[in-house]
Parts: sequence; C-alpha cells; structure tokens
Amino acid sequence: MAGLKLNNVNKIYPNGFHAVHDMNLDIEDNEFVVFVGPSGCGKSTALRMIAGLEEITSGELYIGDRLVNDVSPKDRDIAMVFQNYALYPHMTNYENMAFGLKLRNVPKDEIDKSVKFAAGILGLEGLLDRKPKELSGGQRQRIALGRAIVRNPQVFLMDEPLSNLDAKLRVQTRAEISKLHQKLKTTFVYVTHDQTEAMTMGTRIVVLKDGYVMQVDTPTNLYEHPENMFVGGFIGSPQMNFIEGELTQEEEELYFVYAGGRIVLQKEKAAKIKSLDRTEKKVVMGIRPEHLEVETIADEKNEANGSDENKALVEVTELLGSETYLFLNVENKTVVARVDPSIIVSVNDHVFIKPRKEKMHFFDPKTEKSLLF
Amino acid sequence: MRPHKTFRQRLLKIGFYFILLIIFIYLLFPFYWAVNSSLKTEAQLQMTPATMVPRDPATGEFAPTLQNYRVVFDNQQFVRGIMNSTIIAFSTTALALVAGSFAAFALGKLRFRGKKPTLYLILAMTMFPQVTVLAGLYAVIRTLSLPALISLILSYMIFTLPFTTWVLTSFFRGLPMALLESAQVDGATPFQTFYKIMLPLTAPALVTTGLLAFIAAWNEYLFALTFTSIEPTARTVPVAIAYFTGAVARQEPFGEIMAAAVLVTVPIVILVLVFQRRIVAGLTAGAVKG
Ligand SMILES: Nc1ncnc2c1ncn2[C@@H]1O[C@H](COP(=O)(O)OP(=O)(O)O)[C@@H](O)[C@H]1O
Ligand SMILES: [Mg+2]
Repeated sequence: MAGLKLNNVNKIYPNGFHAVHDMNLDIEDNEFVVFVGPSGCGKSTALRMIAGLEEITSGELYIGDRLVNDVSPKDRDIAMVFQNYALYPHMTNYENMAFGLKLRNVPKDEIDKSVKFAAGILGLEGLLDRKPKELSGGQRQRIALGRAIVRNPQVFLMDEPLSNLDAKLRVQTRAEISKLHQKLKTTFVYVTHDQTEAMTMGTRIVVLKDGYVMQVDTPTNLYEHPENMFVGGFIGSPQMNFIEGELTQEEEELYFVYAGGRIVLQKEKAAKIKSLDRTEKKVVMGIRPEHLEVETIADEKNEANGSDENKALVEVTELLGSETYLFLNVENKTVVARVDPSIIVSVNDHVFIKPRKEKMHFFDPKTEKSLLF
Repeated sequence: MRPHKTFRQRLLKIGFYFILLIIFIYLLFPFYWAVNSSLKTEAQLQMTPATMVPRDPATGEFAPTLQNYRVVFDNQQFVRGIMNSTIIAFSTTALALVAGSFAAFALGKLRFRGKKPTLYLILAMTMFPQVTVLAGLYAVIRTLSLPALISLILSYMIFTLPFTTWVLTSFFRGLPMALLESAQVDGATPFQTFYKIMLPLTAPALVTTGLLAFIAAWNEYLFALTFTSIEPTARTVPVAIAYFTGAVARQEPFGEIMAAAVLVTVPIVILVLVFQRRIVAGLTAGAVKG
C-alpha cells in the first residue's frame, strides 16, 4: 500500500504530440482516484506512465517515497487491468492469475492460496480450469481483476475496464470494484470516459481535457463547485445549462441580465464576485437542470404579474416516470430543466424559469474559469 | 422460371466439380505416374502404349514389383543422401525458426530505428533469384573451405530466413499489444514475454513456416548440386537421385529414379498430414484479429 505523487509530469510522444501537460497530483494511500475526460484527453497516457508502459518525458513520479521514473513496470509493485482484459489465451484462467507470481518464483502452495483467495472474492471458483475464451465477457473481466488481486500490488491501475461490458453488467461490476477497493484497502487509479462511473466510484476525481488537469476534487465538490465551464458541463447528466449575459449592479444588489430577463444574485455570490475587482461585465451563468425550477403561467401570481421576464417556451417534454425533463427555448437557446412529474406542462406552453439562487454558477466567458472560486 | 433456374444451378454444380476434377488430376497425376512407374520392371516400362498400372507384358495381368525399391534401398548413395537431407533440412528449419522468430518479434512488436528499411530489405531478399548468388557463394565457401553440409545449411538460410521472418513478423504484429504490456506488468522480462506468451501464440505460424522451410530445404537442388560437387559424400537426396546410374552405360534407371522420388516425397506428405490442422490455423490466423 502506498500513495502516488506526480510532479509536473509531461508526456510528449515521439511524433511530437504533447499528450499530458504538467500534471501534478498527490494520491494518498488507499484512495480511489478516477481519471475522467473525453476520449483522447490523455487519461490512458497518464495511467500508462504510472504503470511504466510509457516513458515520462519530464517530471517526477513517486510511488510511495520512491522515484520510479526509470523503474521498469515489473519493479513498480503495481498491477494493471486492461480494457480488453489482455488475458493470455493459451493459458487456463488459473495460470493466467498465477503467471505474475510464478515469474517471481513464489512457492507453489502460496500461489495456490493467493489464486484461490482471489477467485473466492470474485466468485470464480468453478472457472479456473477453463481457458479465457470459454468465458463470458463479464467473467473474463473478473479473471483480469483476479490476476491483479493475486499480485497484491501497492497500486491498482485500471484502464476503462468496464467499457466492453453491456450496460447492466457494467453497473453491477462498478459496484463490485468499489467493494473490492474497500476490501483490499489499496490505492486504485481508475480511468474512464464515463462521468457516471467516475462519480459513483471515485473518492477523488481528476478531470482531464486535452492533456491538462481541469480539476481534482471529490465527486460532491466537483458537482457543487466546478472550477471551470468544462468541469461544469462534463460532470452531471443532463449537462449543466449555460446562459450568456451580463452582471449589473443596482443599488446594493447584483443582477444577472440576459436576453430573456434578469435574476438577482445570492448575497454571498454577489459579494464574492464584487471582491474580484472585475471590470468585464460579460459572464456565463451555469445552472444544472435539477436546479432550474419552472413555474407555469397558470400560477396565480404570474397571471397577476403579466410580465414576460424569464419566460420560456416548452419545446419537448421527456417523461421518465420519476422525473420529467423539459427542453425549453430561452431566447432561441435550448435549456433543460429537470422537474417533478407532478408539474403538468405540454409542448408549446410557456413557463417561467427560476434558477435556484444558491446553485447558480458564474464563469468568465473568455477564460471559462469560475468567478466563485 | 423455377425449373429453368434449378437446371442452371445443376449445370453450374456439374461445371464446378468438373473443374475440380481437372485441377485434381493436374496436381496429382505426376505423382501417380511416379508411383506407377516405380512399381514397373524395366520391361514393363518399355511397353507401348504405357499402362496406367503395372501389367505383365505377356498376359496383361496386374503385376507390380518392388524390385526398384529394393535396389534404391541398397544404394549407399541414396541412403546417405536421405541422411544428409534430413540433417540439412532439420538444421535449416530449426535455425530459420529460431532466428526468424527473434527477428520477427523485434520487427513486429518492438520500436526501433530503421525498422521499415529492414523489413523491405528482408522482403527484397525473398525475391532474389538463386542463380545470381550461386557463383559468389561458391567462391566464399571455397575460400573459407567450409564443409559442404555446413555451407548448404547456411546458404539455405538465404531463402528460408527472409520468408520465415516475413511471415512471422506479420503474425507477431497481429498479436494485441496489451498482451505484451500485461506480461510486462506481470513481471516478465522481454525474453520471458517472448517465449512464454508470444511463442505459444504463434505456434500455428511456426509450424506452417517451419514446414515450408523444411520442404524448401528438402527439395533444393541447385545449391546442393554445386556445393557438393567436390564432396560427393555430402550429396543431398535430390542430387543423389540425379546421379543414379543404370546397370548398362548411358541407360536411365527410370524405375529406380521414380521409386526414389516417391520415397523422398513420403516424409513431406507425412509431415503435412500430421500438422494439417495447425497449418490451416496458421494460414488463416492472420486474417482474424486475436
Ligand atoms: N503512441 C502515440 N503516439 C502519438 N500520439 C499518441 C500515442 N498514443 C496516444 N496518442 C495521442 O495522445 C492523446 C491521448 O491519448 P490517450 O491517452 O490514449 O487518450 P484517452 O484519454 O482516450 O485514453 C490522443 O490524442 C492520442 O491520439
Ligand atoms: Mg484510453
């Protein structure tokens, strides 16, 4: 068991492509860290550098207290689970799991004990004498996990291990890997492009984009306090809505003014933004669908009001039973709201949007950075 | 319309089997004729028209003889030739496979500078006509005064090694990179990865290329004829057969030559039959991704 430390790690491929930029990361012992980001953002590259399968162009990598830049994979005390499992097709599942220990000249009875232990955890007892090709995808996945467990490494590395499973199995295995982590009490580094996987499994998440670390935090903090528009949009489903507008001050209050109307800011947020000494007025307001409340026209106080402020046209409704998604046209931009199924609206109705003030995010349109950080 | 269609289909089917039959005869008739001739006596060989099976010249009854085989087995040169050929073909195959698989592993799976030029050079070598190197090689061998057996094994590498390397390279390349990396993380050295993971997985290709190398070495004539010219004891079996002499001067011992030819073919046929399934696997495996 050991932590992991990356100091300004860079990866430039031989063809000149700069795949990972100045990655800094401190992973504590026993953490479950997830690298997440869209395809091609450098997740695998980062993981493979930790594994030692890719050379580190510059920077330092520590496993525990040991600088391992020039240590070969076999001496890094890590185990890796590959996307396509990479089981040895000519060996039985038992031999697949035992291979690493055999190479290390571990005594036979000890190997046997380790393999049986791992098989027990993963429910593989009956399958050990078969070859990998005689197993289903889910079972192969477990053999691959078992092969890693048997090694009893300091760090588990996994590169999209669930992406070849069907949706149902993926959800199951997701939970199993989390359980495994609790049982083994070892450091896990897990790569996925699926934000749901990241949110459900990780104790901490590293969001990557184009080789840059966008934010590192716990799932809750990423969701509540995205540092930039990318993280705001990437984490959470359906996506966070972004509405362009300006901030204007009127007396003591700060207002977000956009094409469809204006919304007053929460006191704390207003204070924070004012303290920035920002001269630029333009901002992007981010609000998650679940934090965008709507009121129907029929509501009495709206009837009385008669104003068009914050009015939106319902374009599509998606009823999921437990919740309803409304796709709203706000000044020719589509905005999604997740509402209670008891709210009855139909297409072409008008509604008023009411973002929850404490859940509003504000970003600089140029740097895309949050103004609330 | 229907009956017309089935009629056409039937016609196509008949045509198909007809073509199959022609190909079959075309390929097998020479061998059949060799077997037929090898079972005939000198007198039966002289019969006109030639008979499709050995027949008694007088009665026309089926009358095969093993006389030719007896003579061939008594022929010291032939027996020696078989031994030489066996040694040379096995050594050539083994060397070509060992060196070829090492090279192919590097060319197919490792990263290094000059890989492409190397590959093209190897490919170019498979196209080299033997005659062009013959004279030069002979001079080299004379200068180094290499024994004929060794010089044959080494010179057979010229055509077996590029071929095995080329075929095995494409085979190694087809193996998923993740297997290699997985072995690396599991703690295998590159050499352990090679012989514990890669080699077993390339077994079908090894068998196929090995067999083809064996056949090529076993059948080779030009080099063998040249390099054994001053060392007759090193003659391989094709050369030995060519040197068969009849009981009477200038007489071609046709029956014996045919018997020897049949005997030389038998080991190859046995090898192919034994490894048949592996060969098919080796020929098709590259087509589907592992
Ligand atoms: N061997 C390589 N040579 C050059 N570029 C590469 C190589 N491997 C990956 N890349 C590039 O690096 C970027 C990151 O790749 P990768 O880490 O595999 O992304 P992902 O986040 O999808 O796992 C991609 O744009 C990819 O094209
Ligand atoms: Mg990847």
